[in-house]
Amino acid sequence: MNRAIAVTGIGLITPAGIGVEENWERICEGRGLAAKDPELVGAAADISCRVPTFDAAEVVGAREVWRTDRFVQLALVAAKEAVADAGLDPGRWDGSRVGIVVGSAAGGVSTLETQHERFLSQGSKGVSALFHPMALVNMVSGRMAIEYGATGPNLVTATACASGATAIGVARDLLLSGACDVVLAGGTEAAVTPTFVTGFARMGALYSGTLPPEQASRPFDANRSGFVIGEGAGILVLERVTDAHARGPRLGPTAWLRCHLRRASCHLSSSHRPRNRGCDATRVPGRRGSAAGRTACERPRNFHSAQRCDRSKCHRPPRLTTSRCHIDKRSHGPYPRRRRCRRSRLHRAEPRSPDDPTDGKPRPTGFRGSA
Amino acid sequence: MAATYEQLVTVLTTRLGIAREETSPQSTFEDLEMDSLALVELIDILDAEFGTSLEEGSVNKNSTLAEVASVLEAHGENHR
Repeated sequence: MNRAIAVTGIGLITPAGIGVEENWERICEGRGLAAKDPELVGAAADISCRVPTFDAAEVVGAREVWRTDRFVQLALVAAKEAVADAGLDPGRWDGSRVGIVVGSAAGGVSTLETQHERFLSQGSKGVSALFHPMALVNMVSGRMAIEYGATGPNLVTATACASGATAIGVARDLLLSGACDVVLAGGTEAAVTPTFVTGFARMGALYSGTLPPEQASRPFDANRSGFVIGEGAGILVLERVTDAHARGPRLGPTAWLRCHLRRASCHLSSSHRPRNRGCDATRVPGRRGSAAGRTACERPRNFHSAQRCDRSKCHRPPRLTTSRCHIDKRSHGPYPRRRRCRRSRLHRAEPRSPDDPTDGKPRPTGFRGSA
Repeated sequence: MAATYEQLVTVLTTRLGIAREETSPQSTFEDLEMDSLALVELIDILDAEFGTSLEEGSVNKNSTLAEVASVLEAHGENHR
């Protein structure tokens, strides 16, 4: 049995833009997107990568937008593009055969912070009845199911930075087991809030150097010193290869998913054990420096595992640094993100990485556009 | 009364995303397709805007906008 799964639709809303095309153009520009964030005044760090302004009411509807957390709004924007890209008509599919699996580590933390503030200032009467329908982490897959009449399996995966990658892996299993014919899978995160960001800053995970904000996000750089928090969502439409081919060449697969990781990245991101086995994920066949290894590389407190990843198991520096710079720190790991960026029909230009402040010259990305 | 009704419609349109053309004094909240959670939210907003303490259930899916406006109006007169 062919155990590969076809990616037939892609949708993105990230700091690099709204839509796959805009994202690719921005990635190829190789320009940093982090900036001072006025909403983080008072937090222990004040730079972030924000999604450009978008009209949430247009996608979610004016009646729903005020009762929908941003992490759900972002997922709905990405899902809309992905479903359209796949050429599927949700009005005509058998909803019971369509699954939704979305990764999110934080869920509706902005709603939680707002409601907690109201509880403290106004007492119990200040807390909205919509607190839980907005903030619970599973509401994103539920809301997508309503939107697309998808009554099949409906799940949210929470495995820290690997949440989106886990979702894609679970979606693959649902397809291979025959439980679903189509699965919308991906990740979403909108947790750039003062308290949430301060939590990362207090654990020493965020960039705190003196470079201009646009140069602060430098994953895998020799002189990296922490990440810059971002937000965004990416949703894929996944189908079995035979089904994708049966729908014709135009609507056929744009990429293949052959393996996935089953590892929560929190093991890597918060473990202080010097012999952290973070780079185990590099054992995935044919993958060097894969998702979990990269996650380990980005935090100063994981320097030991980062060193090991750089010097031994990875054999060579991890590839694809550029995408990580732009779409930094959303819930899904770089593995599916790289898949998205390597779609053959998008290979019109080689991405550049941001200028390296250590020597004033552009760094080679090692990214192979035609790989 | 007209001013209170207008203020109520403004709350519905600006805060809850209801289209103005859908509203009329005889519209019930069921007509406006507002669910129970939206009604709880509406009561919270009205309490904040009008200084009322509406009982939960005093505004239900069968209430018309005119009825709610008169409840708010009566509260305003009692506190003048």
